[in-house]
Amino acid sequence: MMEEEARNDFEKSLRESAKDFRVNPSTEVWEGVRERLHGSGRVVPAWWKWAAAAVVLGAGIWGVSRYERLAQPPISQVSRDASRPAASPGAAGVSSDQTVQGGEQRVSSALKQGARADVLRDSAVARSAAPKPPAAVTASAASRPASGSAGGPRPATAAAAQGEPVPSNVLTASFPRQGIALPGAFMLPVITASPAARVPFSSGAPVMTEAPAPRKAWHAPVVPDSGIAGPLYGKASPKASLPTSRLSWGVYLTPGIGYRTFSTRRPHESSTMNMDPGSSGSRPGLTYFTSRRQTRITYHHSPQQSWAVGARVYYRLNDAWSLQSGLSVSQTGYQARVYEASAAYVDRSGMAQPADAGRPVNSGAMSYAASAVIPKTNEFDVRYLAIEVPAMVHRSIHTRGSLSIDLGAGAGLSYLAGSNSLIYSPVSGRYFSDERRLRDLNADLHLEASLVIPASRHLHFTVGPALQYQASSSYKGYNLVREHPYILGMQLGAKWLP
Amino acid sequence: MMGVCYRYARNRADAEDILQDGFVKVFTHLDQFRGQGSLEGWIRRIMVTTAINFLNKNKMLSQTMQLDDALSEISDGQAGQAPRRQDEWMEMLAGLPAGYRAIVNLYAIEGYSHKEIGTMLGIAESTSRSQYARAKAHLIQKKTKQVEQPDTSQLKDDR
Repeated sequence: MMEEEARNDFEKSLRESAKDFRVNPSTEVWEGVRERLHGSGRVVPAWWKWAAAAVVLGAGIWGVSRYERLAQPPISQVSRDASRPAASPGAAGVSSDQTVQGGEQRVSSALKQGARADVLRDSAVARSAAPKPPAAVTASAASRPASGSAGGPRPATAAAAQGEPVPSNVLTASFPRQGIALPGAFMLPVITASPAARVPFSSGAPVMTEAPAPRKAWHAPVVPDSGIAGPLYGKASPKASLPTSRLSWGVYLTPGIGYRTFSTRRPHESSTMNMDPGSSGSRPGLTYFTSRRQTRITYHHSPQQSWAVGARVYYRLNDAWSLQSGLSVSQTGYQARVYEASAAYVDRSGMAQPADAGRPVNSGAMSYAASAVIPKTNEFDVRYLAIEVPAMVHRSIHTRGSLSIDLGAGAGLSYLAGSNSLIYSPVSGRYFSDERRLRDLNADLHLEASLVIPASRHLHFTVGPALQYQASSSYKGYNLVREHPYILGMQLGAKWLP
Repeated sequence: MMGVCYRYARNRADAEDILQDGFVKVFTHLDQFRGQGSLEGWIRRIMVTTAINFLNKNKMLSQTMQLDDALSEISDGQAGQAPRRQDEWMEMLAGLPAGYRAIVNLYAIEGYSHKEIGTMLGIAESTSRSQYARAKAHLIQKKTKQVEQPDTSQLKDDR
C-alpha cells in the first residue's frame, strides 16, 4: 500500500524535490567563466606562436646575412680607389681584393659562358709581348673607350693604351655588380684562361692578364680554374665541393627518446590544491591533492624510446641557405605511471569504501566513518605514430677544412596514423581512452644542428641533435589538458648531391 | 542551475565543471536565443546538454556495471545513513550510476520522452524505458525502507 502510493507520487515528488534542490557554486566557477570568455576571442593556438617565432627567427637570420653582404664597400668606391695609386703595399692589397670581389659576379657569369676570368693589372709587363688581338675581342673592346674619355678619373687601361705606366698594384678594371659601367672601369671581356697571358686590345695596347693568385680573401673565395660556377658571396664552401644542381636529396634516421610536455588548466580548483599541477610542463613525480575528491594523485612520467625516419629534397638557394621538404614517419612515446590514493571510509562490514563512490563526499559519510586509503597504480604506455611533411630552412656555416655545420629550423604538418593514447582527465582524476579526442592533424616544430662530413663530392653524411616538437596539443576540443609530445634524438643522415 | 548540473554529476567538482562549460556556451551563443520561451528554460536545456556531453566525454554513460551490483554496493556503503529530508530524493538519485541517473533526470524531472532520451544518450528507446523502470523501482523501494525505518540522522549528527 505504502509502496503503491510512493510509486504514484514518484515523478511528482522527484520533480518537487529537484525544484527545491539548490546548491551554490563556488566563486571560482565564475572566475573560470570570465577567464574563458575574456580569453576566447584572443586565444591563438600555441603552434601558431611557435610557427611565427620560427618565421621571425629565420627572417632575422636571413636579414642579418643579407645585411652583411650589403655592408660591403660600394663598387663605385672600389673603382675610384682602383683608379689611383695605393699609398702603401698593404692598402694596395686590400684595394686589389675588393676590386676582384666587385667583379666576381661578372666573372661568374663569364664562367658560365665557358670563358675564364682574369683581371688586368700590369700594362707595362703586358706591353712587352703582345700578340695580335682576336677579331671578337677587338670589336668588343672598341665599343668601350668612350666611357673612359667622358671625363672623371682616367682609367688605367686607357693610360696603358697610351703607353703610360700604370702602377702595378692598381687594377685597371673592375666588373660592376649589376652591369653598369662605373667611372674608370671597363666591362672587360674575359678571354683567356692562362695565367700571365696577354690580352690585346684594338688600340694596339696589349695588357697583361693575371690569374687569381692565392690571397687572403676579404669576403669571397678565389675562383678556381675548375670551371665550377656558383654563387660567389657568403661564406662559401670550397668550390670543389659545390654541386652544380640546386636540387639534392637525402635520407635520415633519428633514434632518440620520446617525451611530452603536459599541462592542465583547472583555474577554479587550483586554490584548493597543495600544488598547482598545471602551471608548467611535465613534472615527473608531481603530487597534488584534490580536496573535493579526497584523492592524492602522484604522476611519474618517464621517456620511452622513439624514432623518426624520413627522406628530404633539398633546394639550395645559395651557398649558405637551403630549403628542405619531404616525408617522414615518426613514433613518439612515453610512459605514465599514476599512483592514486583515494580517501575512503570503513563501512560497518569492515570494508573500505571510496569516499566518493556514487555520491557526494559531503553526504555525511565521512563525519562518522573511520578513514582509510585505497591505493591504486596504473601504468600507461602511450604511443603516437605520425606521418609528417616538414618544411625547413637551413643555414650552412662552414668551418675550416671540408667540414661544415648545418643549422635548421622549420615546421611540419603531421597526420596521426595510429595511437594508443590515454587521455588524462583532471576532472575525473583518471585516464580514459577516446580516439575521437585525438587531433588527427598536428603542427610540428623542428630544430636541427648537424655536422656535415663530405665523403665525396656527391655524398655527404650528417650527424647531430634534432628536436621534433608537436606544437599543437594532442587533444582535440579538450582545453583542460594540453599535451605536446616530442622526440629528442641524434639525427643520422646521408645526402646525395648530383 | 548548479542544482541541475549537480543532479547529473558524480560530485561537486564535476558539477562545477559542467556549470562552467554551460555558462560559457550560454554567453557565447546568447545571440541565438530568440526569445521564444523563457530564458531560464533555454539555459536549462544548455546545461542538460552540456551535462550529457560531459558524461559521454568521460565515458560515464558507458559503464558496464550492472545496476544490481552498483545499487547493492551503494546500499552497503550507505547502510545506516539516512538522507536529510529536504534533499532525500536527490541524495538517493545521486547514489545511482551515471547512466541510470541521467535517464531518471531526463525523464522524470526534465520531461523528455524515452525516444528523445535514447537519441541524446545514444541508446535504444527500449533501453531507456527499461532502465528507467528499474531505477524507479529501486528508488521507490529504498524510499519505502527509509519511511519504515526510524530516522537516525539526528543521532548521527549529534555524535
